[in-house]
Amino acid sequence: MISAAGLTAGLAGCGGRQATQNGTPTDHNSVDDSAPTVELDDETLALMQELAYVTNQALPVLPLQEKLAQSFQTTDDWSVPSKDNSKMQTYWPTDWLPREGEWTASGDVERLTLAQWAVPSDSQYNPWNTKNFAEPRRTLFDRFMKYNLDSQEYTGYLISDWALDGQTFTLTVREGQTWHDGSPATATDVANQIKLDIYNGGNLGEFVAPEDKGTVADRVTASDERTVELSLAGPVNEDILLAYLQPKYLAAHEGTYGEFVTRLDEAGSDEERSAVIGELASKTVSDPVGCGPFAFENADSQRTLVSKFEDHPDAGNINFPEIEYLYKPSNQSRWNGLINNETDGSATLFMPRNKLNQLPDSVQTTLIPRHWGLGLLFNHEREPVNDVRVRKAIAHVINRESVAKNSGAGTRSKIAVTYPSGLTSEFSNQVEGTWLKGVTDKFETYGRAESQTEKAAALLEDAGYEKQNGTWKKDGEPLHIPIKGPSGFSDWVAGAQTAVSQLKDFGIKAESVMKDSSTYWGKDYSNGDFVVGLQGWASYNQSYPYFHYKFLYDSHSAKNYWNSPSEFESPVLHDDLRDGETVAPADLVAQLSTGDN
Amino acid sequence: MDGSTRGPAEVSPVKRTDDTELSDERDPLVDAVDADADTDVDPDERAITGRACEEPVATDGGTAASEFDAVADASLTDTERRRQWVEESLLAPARIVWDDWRARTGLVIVSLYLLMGTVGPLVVAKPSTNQGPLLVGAFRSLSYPLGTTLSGTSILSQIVHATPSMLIMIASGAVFTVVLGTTLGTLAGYKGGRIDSALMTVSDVMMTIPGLPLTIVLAAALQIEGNPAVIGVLITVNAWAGLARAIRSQVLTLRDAEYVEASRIMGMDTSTIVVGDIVPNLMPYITMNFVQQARAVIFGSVGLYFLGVLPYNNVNWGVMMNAAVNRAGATSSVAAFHWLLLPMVTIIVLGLGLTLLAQGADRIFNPRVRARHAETVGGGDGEDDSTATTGGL
Repeated sequence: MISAAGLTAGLAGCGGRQATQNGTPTDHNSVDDSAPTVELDDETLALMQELAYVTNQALPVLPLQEKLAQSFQTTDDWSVPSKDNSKMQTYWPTDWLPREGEWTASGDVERLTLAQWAVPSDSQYNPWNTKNFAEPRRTLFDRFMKYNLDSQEYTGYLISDWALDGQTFTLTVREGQTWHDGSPATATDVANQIKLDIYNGGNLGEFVAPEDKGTVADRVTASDERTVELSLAGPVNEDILLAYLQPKYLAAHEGTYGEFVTRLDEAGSDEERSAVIGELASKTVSDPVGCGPFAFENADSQRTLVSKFEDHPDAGNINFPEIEYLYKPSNQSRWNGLINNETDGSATLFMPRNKLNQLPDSVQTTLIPRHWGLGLLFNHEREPVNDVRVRKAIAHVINRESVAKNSGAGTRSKIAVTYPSGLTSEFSNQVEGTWLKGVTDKFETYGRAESQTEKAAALLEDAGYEKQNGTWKKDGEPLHIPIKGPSGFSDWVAGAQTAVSQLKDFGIKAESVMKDSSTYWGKDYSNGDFVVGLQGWASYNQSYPYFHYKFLYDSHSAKNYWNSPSEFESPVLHDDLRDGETVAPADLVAQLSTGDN
Repeated sequence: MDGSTRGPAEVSPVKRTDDTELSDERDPLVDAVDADADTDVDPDERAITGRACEEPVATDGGTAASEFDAVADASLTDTERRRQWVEESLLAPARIVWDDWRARTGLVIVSLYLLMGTVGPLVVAKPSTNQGPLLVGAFRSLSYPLGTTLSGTSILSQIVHATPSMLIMIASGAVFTVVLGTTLGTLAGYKGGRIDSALMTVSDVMMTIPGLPLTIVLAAALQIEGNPAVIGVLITVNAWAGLARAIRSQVLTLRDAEYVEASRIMGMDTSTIVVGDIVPNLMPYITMNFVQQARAVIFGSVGLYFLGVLPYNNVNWGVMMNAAVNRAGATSSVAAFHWLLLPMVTIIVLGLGLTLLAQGADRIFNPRVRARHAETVGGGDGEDDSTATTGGL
């Protein structure tokens, strides 16, 4: 699952061509200047700080920048909240605003026009078949919950209420939910959705049925029409459960997926289950029965049309009959769609300054924190970056401010990381104000907006390198740092080239090797065939620090792709948590997940 | 190289004229006729007879020698031979080129690119980010005359520093195609038989594979890491097949030509015949193809870089265009259009230069044009202006 997330991360990119917009509304923060308060007990906070410190000192990756997603809405025929309104701070405005009656037609317009990446007639809506789960999913299906970025609270939506009582997690389904074929959406459907996710390797399985998937049927049950019960295998932090549950869309319609659930529940062995999973993964659903406020009408080669479903509980909030999704497979076509008033908005899209200047005044640009961004990934089994001193020297040389500026292409959408520590929310000062409160002076900044060449030189000399004729060498061989990346992610390429320029100026023989995006993700990255690779440095789907550290230290990608060792050497921040310099970060991550809150 | 193989055949008339001038009454042919008529002739005077091949004949040099030696000894010292070679191989083509405006323009353009690829990187600063403000237009500032990109990189720096690797790529692709195509084509055409059918089967198979998808797949499958020489070969990976087929059919028409047959009867080995008699006759065609392949490599590579399917580790004209479109939407943005336009112009001008040069090359290898220029050189030692007067004709 994490590996899939890593790959999706890759495919989504920050502004890359193939972005899939898989964003999920789990963010904690708004763009307010004041640091929001997060209620954390001391032990959880200390664990997070310890992990942040290990990351800062051992640098398994070098976080460079954090991303603010640009989201676009037209205001001439549509009434939407202003770009500074906190209602815009969701993933994504196109999902939630129409449901809440905040995105309404003000003029004489028939339909809302948006864009989708995949060919509409080839799109399908089986979420377990990972191909072409296209954008209309946002209005065809309802999400379990909503995350309010201001109050940092989960609000019920399809799951209207929930309670964690010891090791039993009870979910209550919203009243009046109906499938588009007229049948009621019940607790059984919600249980089926959760079960199918777990059978497919979803993260909840780790807490519900960590050992044997054969027990899932007994542990996820619908106790009545509107109540689902999850029996947990051990104590779990509720924030983590909610973070995993909240982004789910209810797609498990009984008539479409019921037989798979039955066969999986009754399967006697892992082999049987994987055979059924394989069948499920190859099933394509091109004419879905959804449960959202819009129902599927038709799709041709150029657009998907969905029409308002009057029986949805929120149908009254919507004053336009249709939404169409036009096939816009590239950033350029989306830019032009907005510039020419062809589309009425875009959930998230990277747009450089010169194109922003071409937008008509009626288009507003909202910046939404993304809790994710470009980082340099080190392959821990390749010379010379398996030496922490070389990694630190690279960190000192790179001027992250300048990288973020070039990557952002004149927009304010990329922010340089101040403390490379694996913690996100740079834009709201939350890193200093909350997560690292009181310990920031222990952290190394590696020079956010400068090239600290003297410190870098000292580290390299310590590692046995010597500067000859302007080039750093060891045993006559120049220090060679090739940085590989996906050429389709143009903003990443710009950032990487900036870093390469800075390393070259310092005397390191750096080069950027850009490959076709699918080759990079499918081959170079997933085979660990890189010395330094480009990758998002945080969990793509979540914002809570636990998920970032899980991604960095205890994920399929970390172990298999960038060959992260299980133990690192790092000075100690909180000596009641660790003894000695050697640390296994994955253990700390595991402790973080079970902490009660 | 071809001066030595072609020299005697074409130059001899010129030099014979000189001989005649130097030794008035000793026209060998006339003497020979005389000799046949009069048996009492001085051995010195005897020249070409029916026995010329078997027996020593007299020449104006006086001592007995073969007819072939005689001409050379009498007329050419080493220095002369060298000068003649220079005239033959360098000056005459150069004059032909200079007489033709297309070839002249082509040559100037290609030389400028060679200069840009060799001296350019030493003169122009390396491209790096933040050399100037973002997206400065072309011709607005002296420090970055062609403007800057969205990362503030000077476009002039990028264009100039991309040239060496582009030239390497072009050369490697063209050399690969031409060497392989010519070798296999000539071999198949001259040898015939099984070798012919085997080689042509291979080349037919290669021809039926669509080149572009093959290149894309190979680029993804191989570990090439953006090495320009390898990419040049990759882009033309099956272009040699078409050339080999065409050359084979040319060779088929030549292999039964009289002079080739003569060489064969004289017992010369295959390689000498191929190198000395056949390939020189194909040179115009081969040169044209070399230039055409060079163009194909540029357009192919730029196209593939533009699409983003080739790996790269350096600046590159195609990558610049790709970045301009993908990062700044240059096709519909006035602010970024120069970023797309300038590398495009760079490519178009080089393509034009190579095309013009190819047309000029045709004239260089046209024997009649060439002979006229060589003659002018040979006869006009003392009169420099004769070149100018006859050259234009």
